[in-house]
Amino acid sequence: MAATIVPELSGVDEEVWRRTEALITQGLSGRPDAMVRQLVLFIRVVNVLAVVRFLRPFTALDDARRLRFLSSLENAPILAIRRGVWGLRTLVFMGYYGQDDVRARLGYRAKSLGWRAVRQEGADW
Amino acid sequence: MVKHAQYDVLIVGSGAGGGTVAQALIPLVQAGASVLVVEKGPRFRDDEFTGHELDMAPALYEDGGGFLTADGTMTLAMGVAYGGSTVVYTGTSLTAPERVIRHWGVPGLDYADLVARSEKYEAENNVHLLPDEEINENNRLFVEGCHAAGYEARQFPVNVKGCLGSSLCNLGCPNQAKQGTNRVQLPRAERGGVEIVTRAEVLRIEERAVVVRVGEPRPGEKGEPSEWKPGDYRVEAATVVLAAGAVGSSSLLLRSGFGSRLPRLGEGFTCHPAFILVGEHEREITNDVGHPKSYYLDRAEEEGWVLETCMYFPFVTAKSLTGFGPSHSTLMRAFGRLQMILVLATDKVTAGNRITVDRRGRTAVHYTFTPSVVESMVDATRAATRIFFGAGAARVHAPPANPPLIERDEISRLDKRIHARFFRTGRVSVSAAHLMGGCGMGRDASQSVTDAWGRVHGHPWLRVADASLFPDSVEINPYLTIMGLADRVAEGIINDHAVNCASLGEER
Ligand SMILES: Cc1cc2nc3c(=O)[nH]c(=O)nc-3n(C[C@H](O)[C@H](O)[C@H](O)COP(=O)(O)OP(=O)(O)OC[C@H]3O[C@@H](n4cnc5c(N)ncnc54)[C@H](O)[C@@H]3O)c2cc1C
Repeated sequence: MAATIVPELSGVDEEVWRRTEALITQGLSGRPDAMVRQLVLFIRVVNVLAVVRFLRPFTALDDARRLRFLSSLENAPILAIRRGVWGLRTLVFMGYYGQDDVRARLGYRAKSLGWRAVRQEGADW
Repeated sequence: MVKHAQYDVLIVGSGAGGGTVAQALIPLVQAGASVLVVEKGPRFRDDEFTGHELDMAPALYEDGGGFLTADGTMTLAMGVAYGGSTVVYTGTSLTAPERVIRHWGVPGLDYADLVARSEKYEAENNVHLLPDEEINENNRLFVEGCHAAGYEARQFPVNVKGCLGSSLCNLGCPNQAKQGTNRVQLPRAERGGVEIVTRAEVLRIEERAVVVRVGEPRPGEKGEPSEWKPGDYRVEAATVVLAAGAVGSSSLLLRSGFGSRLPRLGEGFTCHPAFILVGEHEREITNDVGHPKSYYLDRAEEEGWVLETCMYFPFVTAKSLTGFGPSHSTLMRAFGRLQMILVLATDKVTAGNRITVDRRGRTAVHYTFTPSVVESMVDATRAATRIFFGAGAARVHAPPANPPLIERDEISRLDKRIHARFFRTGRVSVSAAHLMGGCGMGRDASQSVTDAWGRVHGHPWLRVADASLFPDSVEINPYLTIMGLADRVAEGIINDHAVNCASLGEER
C-alpha cells in the first residue's frame, strides 16, 4: 500500500524502507492505542474489500489496479473509509517525506540562516 | 501526596492571552502580590529549534500537530510550550475590523479601547512591514497574480526582529526573531517578579483553587525540566485566570463542572478552516527562504474568505495535497517550483460547532462544515486558481476539484472544475490554527460565559483571557485581538484585586 501511495518506494533499497518504517513507528508512538488499532483494522478492511471487488487481496493486484482501487476508496461515500485512506497516506507521507535525503532530492532547501545562507552559498540557489 | 501552594493570582497558560496578563500584572507584583503562571508545555532552549518538521512538530504542538476534530475531518493546530501558540505562529499582526467587533455586540466592549490596546502590543512586538528586498518570489507572485486577476493584495505587518528569513516560523523560529510572548512578555514578567512553572498541567478548577500536575521530560525529549518537583499540587489563588486557549480553557471549565450553570460553555467554536493550494511554475522560485506569509487578500466582508501566502515543509505539503500516487509524487518533485496559497473561510458561530468533554474527561471538538463555509472555500479556491494562473503557473492543485490538478487551458471552466460537490470531508485535508470561542463574552449566563472584562458569570474570582472569549470569529489573524482583550482582563484584575484578596482572607 505504501508504494501505491508513494510510487518511489517501490524501487528503493532496504535502508530506505527501514527509515520509512522507523519514522512511521515514531509518528504512531505518542498516539492513542485506539487510533493504531483502527489503522490496523482499516488495512484489513482494504484487503477484504479488494477480495470482494477483484476476488484477490490488495497485494495480489497490479500497480494500476491498486491505485484505482485506493483512489476509489478515497472518494468512498462512507466517511470512515475516506478517513482511513487519509490516515494511511498521512503516515506513509510522514515516513517518506520526513527523510532528510528525500527532502534534499525534492529541492527543499530551507535553512535556519535563510537569506544569509543564500548569499553564502550563492550559486547553489 | 498533594503539595499545597498559595498565590494571589494564578494564570493558566502562557500563550497570547496568558503571556499578556502575566506581563500586565507586574505592577501588582511590585505592590506585593504574588502571581503564578502555570503552563502545560515546556521551555525550550534556543538551540533546540532545529527547523526539522518531524523533530519540532511533536515537541511544539498538541498531539504532535495531529489533533483532530471529533469526526476526524479537520486538524487543529495548538502550540504547547512556554509561549503557547505564539511560539509557532507566523507573526502576522492585524487589529480586528470595526464591523466584526460591532457584530459581536458585547455590552461594555468598546472598539476604540480594544484597538488602542492591540496597538500597544503592536508597538511592543516590533510590528512592521518587511522591506521589499526581503520579500521572496512566492509572495511576489501572489501580488502579481492578484493584480492580474483584478484583486489588490495587501502586505501583512509582521512582528519580527532580526528575521533571517528561515521560512520556518511554524516550527518555532530557529533565530528567535518572532516576537511571541516567549520572547517579549513572559521574560519581562519573570524579570518583574512573576513566577512561571512549565510542564505543569491544570487538571481541575475548584473554588479559588486549581489542581496541577507537574510532569517530567521523557528520555530524549526536548525542553527543560519543570521549575517545580514532579507531582500533584493544589494551588489556592484569590483570582484564577484561564488562558489555556479556546479548546483548553473551555474543556477545563467543562471538566471542572462549570457547565451546569453556564449553558453556553463550549459553544460558539469557530476556527477559520483552511486548506493549501499549490501552483506549479515552469521555473524554480524562491519559496523556502524568506518570511513565508507577507501578503494577503481579504474578502471576508464580501465573500467570507481570506487568502494568505504560505510555505510549508515537505511532509505537511504532501499531506495537504489531495490524493496520492504518481501525480502526487510528480508535484512533490516540483517542490522548488511551487507557489502556495492558504485559503481560509471566515466561519460564523453555528449550532453544534462546540467543545465538549466526555465522561472520562476527554476533550472533543465538534465541527461541521456548513454549506456556506464550503461555498466560501470553493469560491476562494477559484479566486486563488485565477491568481496562480495570473502569476504564470502552468497548473494548479486545488483540493475541491476532481482530479485536483487543473491545467492552464482549463481556466474558462473553473466553475465546473472547482465545485462544492468535490469538497468531500475526509478526502480534502482541512486544518485550522485560529481557534476561537467556547467562553464567549456577552451580557449574561443565558447567552454567554464571560462579561466584557473576561469575568466568568457568577464567579467573580474566575476570569478568561484568551481566544475563547471571542463570541464569534474575528475574521482576521487573531493574536493582537487576544492580546488587547487580555490586557483588559489584566486591568480588571488589578482593579478588583483588593476585593478578591479580602474575600479569600475571610474564607481562610
Ligand atoms: C501554526 C500557527 C500559526 C499561526 N499564525 C498566526 C499569525 O500569523 N497571526 C495571528 O494573529 N495568529 C496566528 N495564529 C493564531 C494564534 O497563535 C493564536 O490565536 C493565539 O496564540 C491564541 O492565544 P491563546 O492565548 O488563546 O492560546 P495559546 O497561545 O494557544 O496558549 C494556550 C496555552 O495554554 C496551555 N495550556 C492548555 N491547557 C492547559 C492546562 N490544562 N494547564 C496548563 N496550561 C495549559 C497551552 O500549552 C498553551 O501554551 C497561529 C496559530 C498557529 C497554531
